[in-house]
Amino acid sequence: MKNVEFDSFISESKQGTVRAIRFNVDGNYCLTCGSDKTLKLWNPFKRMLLKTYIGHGLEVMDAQGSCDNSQLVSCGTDKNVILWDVTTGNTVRKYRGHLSTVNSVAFNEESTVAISGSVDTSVRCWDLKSKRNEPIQILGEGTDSVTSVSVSSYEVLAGCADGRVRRYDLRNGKLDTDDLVHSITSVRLTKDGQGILCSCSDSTVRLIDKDSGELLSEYKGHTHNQFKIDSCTNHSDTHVVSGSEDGCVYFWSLIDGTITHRLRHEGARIVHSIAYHPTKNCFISAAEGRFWIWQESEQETEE
Amino acid sequence: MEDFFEGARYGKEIYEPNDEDVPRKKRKLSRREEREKERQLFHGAFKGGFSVGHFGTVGSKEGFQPKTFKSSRKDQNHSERIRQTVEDFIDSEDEEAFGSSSCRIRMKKSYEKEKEVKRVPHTERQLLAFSVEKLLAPQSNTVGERLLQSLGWKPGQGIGKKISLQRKNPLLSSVASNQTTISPEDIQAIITKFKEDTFGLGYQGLEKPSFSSVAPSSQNHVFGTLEKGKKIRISGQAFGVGMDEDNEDMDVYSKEDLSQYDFELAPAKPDIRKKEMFSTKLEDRFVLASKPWLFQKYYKPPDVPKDFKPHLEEVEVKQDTISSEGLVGRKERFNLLKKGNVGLEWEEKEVDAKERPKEEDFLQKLFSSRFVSKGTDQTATGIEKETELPTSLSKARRGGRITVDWFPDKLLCTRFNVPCPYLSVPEKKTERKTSLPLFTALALAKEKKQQQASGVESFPAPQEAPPEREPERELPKTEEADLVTAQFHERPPIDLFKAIFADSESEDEVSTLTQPSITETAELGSWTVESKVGGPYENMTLVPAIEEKKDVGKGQDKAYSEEMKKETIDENLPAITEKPIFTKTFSKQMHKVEEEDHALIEKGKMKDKKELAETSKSKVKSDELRRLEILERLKEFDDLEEVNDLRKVVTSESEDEWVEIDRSDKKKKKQKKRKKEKKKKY
Repeated sequence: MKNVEFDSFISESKQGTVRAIRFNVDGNYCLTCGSDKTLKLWNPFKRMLLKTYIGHGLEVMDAQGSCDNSQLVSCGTDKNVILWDVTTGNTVRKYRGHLSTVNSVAFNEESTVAISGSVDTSVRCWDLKSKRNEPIQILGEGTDSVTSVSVSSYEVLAGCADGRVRRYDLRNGKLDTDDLVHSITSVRLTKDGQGILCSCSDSTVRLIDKDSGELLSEYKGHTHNQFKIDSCTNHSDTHVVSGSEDGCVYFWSLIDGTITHRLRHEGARIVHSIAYHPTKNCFISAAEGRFWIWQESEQETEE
Repeated sequence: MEDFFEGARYGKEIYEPNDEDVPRKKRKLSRREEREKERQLFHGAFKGGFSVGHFGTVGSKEGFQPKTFKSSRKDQNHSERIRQTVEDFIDSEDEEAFGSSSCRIRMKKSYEKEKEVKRVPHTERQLLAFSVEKLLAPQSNTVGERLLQSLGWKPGQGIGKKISLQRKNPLLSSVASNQTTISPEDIQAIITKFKEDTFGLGYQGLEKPSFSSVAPSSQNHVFGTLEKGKKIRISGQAFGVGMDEDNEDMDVYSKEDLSQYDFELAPAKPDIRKKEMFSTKLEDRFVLASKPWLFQKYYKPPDVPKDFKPHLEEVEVKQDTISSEGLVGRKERFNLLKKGNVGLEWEEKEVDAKERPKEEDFLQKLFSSRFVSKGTDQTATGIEKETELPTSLSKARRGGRITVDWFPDKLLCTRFNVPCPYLSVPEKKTERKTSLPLFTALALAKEKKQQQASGVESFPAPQEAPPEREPERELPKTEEADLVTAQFHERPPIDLFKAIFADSESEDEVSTLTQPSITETAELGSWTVESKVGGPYENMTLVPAIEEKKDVGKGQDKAYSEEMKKETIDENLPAITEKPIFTKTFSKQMHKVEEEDHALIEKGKMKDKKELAETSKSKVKSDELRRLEILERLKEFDDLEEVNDLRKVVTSESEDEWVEIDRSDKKKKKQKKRKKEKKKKY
């Protein structure tokens, strides 16, 4: 992996600033959330814009595609969480429960619930199957803005600006709070589901053990002080990938913690959003108004 | 009658028609009249010749004589000029509409104005309006005015014989005033004051005192002297009145003066002499103070060290845009601070030992990022220290992992396809929304708090039933009861409806418990009940079939729900839960019934469910019991509309009589329409 080179292709999203970039469930399509209130669906490999979804009142902060690719859920500064129909582009549901900007949204495994985290410190679970406008449950344990939510088959993770990661375990009925002191801007589960990767605003990405809460590793070298920077693991959980405020994407070896790649984004000051393909060794990153598609170059490795 | 008449007759008989008589026909028209009529009808048509507009009278004796043309250009005699009027051109039939006969007679403008001036003002308002009008209206004297003026009258003077000056002003008594005459005063218009208020007749409000009026003198006083020689003055309603013969008409008993009342709630002050109040001299208004005015607290300036060189150092204060951190305590700095004298009062106060750490914490936060102790070296090393601190302190704060119990919503568990972690323990913090008005919600919350504090179970007694039962079978029923999401203050929980309307279903549920979930929907008027039958996680949600009702109260609900949301975010306030009022007992009943039925089935006596329904004693019992129960419970909801409907349902003896409860407006409208249609048909 060390010698893997990446080729990039830059695409103008024409959405103002791309607030978030996400792959869909199978990695064939990607979503870009723009500051121009639009949500765009792209085929990144064919460099094609497939559809634009208009319906948000203000900037779109985050989005995710459903497990069956039929629906999208997005959230934004207008305090709304919107459920879209992919093919028609219609808004199926609009959830207006949050009291402030909704920072992050995610589907559950079966895409029956949308979970959103907002600046109003709450995480709300919206029932997509019924016609209820009220959330099923409000998780209000946060003491500061919830910056990122992540969902697995039986748990909900919420990363908060108060420096705490809260893991709501539905199976056991437990809430685990891990205090990392520094504001967290991104929480992701590793592919194996055993680790929680958090981007902290002290220029550190931390990996903690899910079950014990033990700090497994810290990844430094990038810059992360002010903005919401995403981080994740690659498709095979061998590396930790993060954006940075210096215009580069950093790769660390998960085990070592050493920087393996530093991918420069030309003309970009901050790379804030990244998404890794679920199976292939490719990823997409967004910086300001453009997004990059990175693919493994077809050079043979020397090893 | 005519037969008997013997004398001579003159004239025609007066025709007095009786009511019974048919009105007689008009008399036969004379020839002339006939012609006239004809002419009118045909306008001279069908006769040929020049007859347009003049009924064929041209050239005839009676008719129109066309005038020969005369040039008037040379004609200077304008007085003889032919003046043509409308009457020359119109037909006789149009005379009614356009001729002189239809003209109204009105006054000439010069005469017209007099009418308006004659408006006499009666009320003050009218007078005001009148005077304003007078000011604004263009001056034009009336005929009468002009006549008078020509006779020597001036506006404002009265009319009549001249009177002597003395008579007018009786005070004058000179000879000259006796002899000279002057015109009398003009009569003033009598202005009556209309009563525009609702006070009693003759009511006069309190007179507001004015400082200019010399009030004391108008009052009656009695003067006297005390033993020591002090003069006193007693004033009041009853004082100083008796012997005043001159002023007999003085109304003694009704003097109400606002000056006698206090205008402010203030302790009795020594009378400030008015002179003092209004005098212009400074000495009169101010008095030397008794106490010297000192500053309450005087703080010394900080001790400046001798070698102090003032220079500006820029210390970067960390400001995270995301979090509000930056005020993390820095112990070392604080300790340094403590060494130096800061001289704040509150620090020196003696505080309880318990409170101290909190204060220190607070101090930490307050000073750490803002102040630099004088003792520290103000060079780059200071900044370095700053960056070092966070790591050391982060260790202090990081408490590792904290695990607490969390109760996911049952629906959430279902959606995640995860078995619900807790079974018997009821939810304490449910953040489910109900559209309760704010105040009842708060009241509920208070109640809950109180109940929790006192150690009483927050749910009614029947709650005891759940832990007794086996989790397998009985669980769905209790959960069902728990999950009632009906509006608390409006409708009885869904179980009630279910119990009434879904009789046969209960049997189905029992038998299909082990089967995978089947959704059944039962329509209850405008509400559809979605119930997941079977499975361990039965859910019941009331889904309104008609959206109208929602929209009606939407604005209100939103406001309230917004408030509610704010409430729930506050962690101190316990969240709102629905109270399953009496469903526990119900389910208990139902369970007993089912158990009995099961026993019967097991015995093998009953094969068909229908047989069971018809013949089982337990079923009969349960029916009756159920109905009784329902009636009892309905007493609680006496005020609701639905109650009456339900009562009808419950008290009906056979199933055929069951009344359809329809709550939908649409249905009613439809019914009305149908009724109307039926009526129309007949």
